[in-house]
Amino acid sequence: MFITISELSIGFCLFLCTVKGMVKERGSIRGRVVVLSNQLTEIWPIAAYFIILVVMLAFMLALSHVLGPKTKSRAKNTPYESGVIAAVAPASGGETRFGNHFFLYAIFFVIFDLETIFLFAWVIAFDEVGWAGFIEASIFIGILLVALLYIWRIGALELKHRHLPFRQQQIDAQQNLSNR
Amino acid sequence: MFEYLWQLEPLWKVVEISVMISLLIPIAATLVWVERRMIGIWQDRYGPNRVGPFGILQPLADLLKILGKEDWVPPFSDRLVFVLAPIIGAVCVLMSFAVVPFSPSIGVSDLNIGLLFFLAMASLAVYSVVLAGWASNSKYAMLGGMRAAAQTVSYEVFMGLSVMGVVLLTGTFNLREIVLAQTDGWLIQTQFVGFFVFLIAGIAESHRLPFDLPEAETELTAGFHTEYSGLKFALFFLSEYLGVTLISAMSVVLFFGGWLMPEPLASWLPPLFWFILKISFFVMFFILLRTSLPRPRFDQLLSFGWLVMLPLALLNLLVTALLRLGGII
Amino acid sequence: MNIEFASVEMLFYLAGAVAIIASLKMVTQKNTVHALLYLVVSLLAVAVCFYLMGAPFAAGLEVIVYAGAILVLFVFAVMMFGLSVDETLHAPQSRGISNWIGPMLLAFALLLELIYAIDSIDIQQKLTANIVDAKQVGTLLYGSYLLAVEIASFLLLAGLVAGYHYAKPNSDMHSILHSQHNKNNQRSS
Repeated sequence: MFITISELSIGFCLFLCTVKGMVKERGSIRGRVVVLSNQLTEIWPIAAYFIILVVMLAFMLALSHVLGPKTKSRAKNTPYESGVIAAVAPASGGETRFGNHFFLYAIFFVIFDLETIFLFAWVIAFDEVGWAGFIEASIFIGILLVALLYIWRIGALELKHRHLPFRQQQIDAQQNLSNR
Repeated sequence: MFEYLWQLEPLWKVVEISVMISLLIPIAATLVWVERRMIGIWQDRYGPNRVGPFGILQPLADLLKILGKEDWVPPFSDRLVFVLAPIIGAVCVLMSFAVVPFSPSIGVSDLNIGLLFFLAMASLAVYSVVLAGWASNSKYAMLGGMRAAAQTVSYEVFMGLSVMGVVLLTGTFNLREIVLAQTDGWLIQTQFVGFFVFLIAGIAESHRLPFDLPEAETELTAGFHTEYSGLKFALFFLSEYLGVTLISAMSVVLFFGGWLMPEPLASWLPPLFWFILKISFFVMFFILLRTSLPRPRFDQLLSFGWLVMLPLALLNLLVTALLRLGGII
Repeated sequence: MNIEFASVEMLFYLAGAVAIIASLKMVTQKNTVHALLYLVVSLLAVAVCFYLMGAPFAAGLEVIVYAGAILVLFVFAVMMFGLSVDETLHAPQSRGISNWIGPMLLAFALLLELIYAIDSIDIQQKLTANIVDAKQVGTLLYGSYLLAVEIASFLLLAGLVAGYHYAKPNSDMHSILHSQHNKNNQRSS
């Protein structure tokens, strides 16, 4: 609680400082105008596009809200689970939790996405950095290919035994136990 | 004089933007009809042929019907996020069109980081499916959302890597400059591996068959949009077809020279028509894929991505770089 | 020209205000997913700020890496492990001055530093020099900061391996559970 309040106050101070800086800056900034106007001609159509888009979608949703009927029936407000609602999903605080296979893919994604970013910096400046850049990028790619090889060899990219038939799982488990 | 023009130019731009948005959505709706007709033909049946000539007014009928449906938000869901999710999906796909250069003079913006903008919007589109699955608060939707997220984020990496060869050869992120750099020859000549990876990643990103596992009806009812109905469902549907158009448009821009054509052909039609013609070709290809290929299993899909597409895309990049340094391309 | 400059400035402060408000909302949300959504909005607004300050590449990266990758991971975790409700009840309570005085002092040090940075004319002129495009960033990264990129690749490697081993499904645990299940079955039969 205290931390939150102190964070808020710091944020507010920062905001004030920014405003102060803005007032002070005004005089010394004219040189930037040409550079910035270029940025502006590129971004304002996108901003306008975004605003028009959101307004249109909101209008469509509102229209369907007005036009559509409102009905009531006995089982309408239950999830589509063929009448058998076995578990409460996590969003409403239920106990259902899922295996984390999918989560692993999300972790790999973050790592390789960062790699992509580094490589983007390389390819855009490809002609400037030449052979030195190429050798460096090859080492960079090589290291991550080794990482990929590693996670493949230890079987991290497979969905493992949970998708085998249950009997197979039992056999595996017994073998594991007798190996101990 | 100059001052006067400066005041008028924004107005024209806004008109152009409005026309574009109001054309894109009917085009996506018509695509639904085209797909149903084509699948009908390929499966030796008629498809929708009652409303208007050849059934071409079917999309309009569908739209009117959907507007008359109840705007139902399930009481067991997280209402705010539930409504927000389809909007996020539609906005992300439509925003990507803002950087696509349609012809020498048409296009919303020549952003200097256009390609990064496209990839950024593709990465934000993940929120739509994840949040839809989470907010629906039902098991099928949850599982579908999770599958969709794992699939989309994996293939996003390969998509980013596959377009790097293009950036390497053209030296810019600006999509208009990428098109203009292909005046002497389309990039597909050297980047066919990149194109292959890009196309497959694009199919996976827009959840099209054969990669529609997040909404595989035999396993998950309708996946992440199980609880959606009416216009909100239509928005998901629309995003999917807009996604198909977007991936086709990006393939054309990046690998097939955008609106450019070799000389005897170029003078026959205006550039915009060539662009649309090329896009239609790819859209047809997507529809043909849907009718001809079965769905893989989910773990096969992911391991195919990580073990085949990723090394392939990296190798393509390295080979392209070597050839470029050797002065061959 | 003057109009254009004024509108750039206006857009910049608008985006900044959106970022600040979204961050405040993020801190005060009870629902984790809503909080994360506000954080996404805040990051997008910061990306717009970057773009308007003349750093388009940084803006693109901000969206792709932070909003598009790291927060997706967060949302994924929240969704999968059912953390959407406020779990501060189970968290250790921070009562007493000793718990928060340290972070507070550090935060104030940061604040002073930032005030200095905003106030000093030199730094301001460096900040507002010109557009830094992607090409310059690439040339620097693969030129003078060559070693940093390689170190980053090792960091990513370490992150990948460690991430997997922290989050991997605990297979031993499962076998034990299943075998106990078996034993129980055998006993009962």
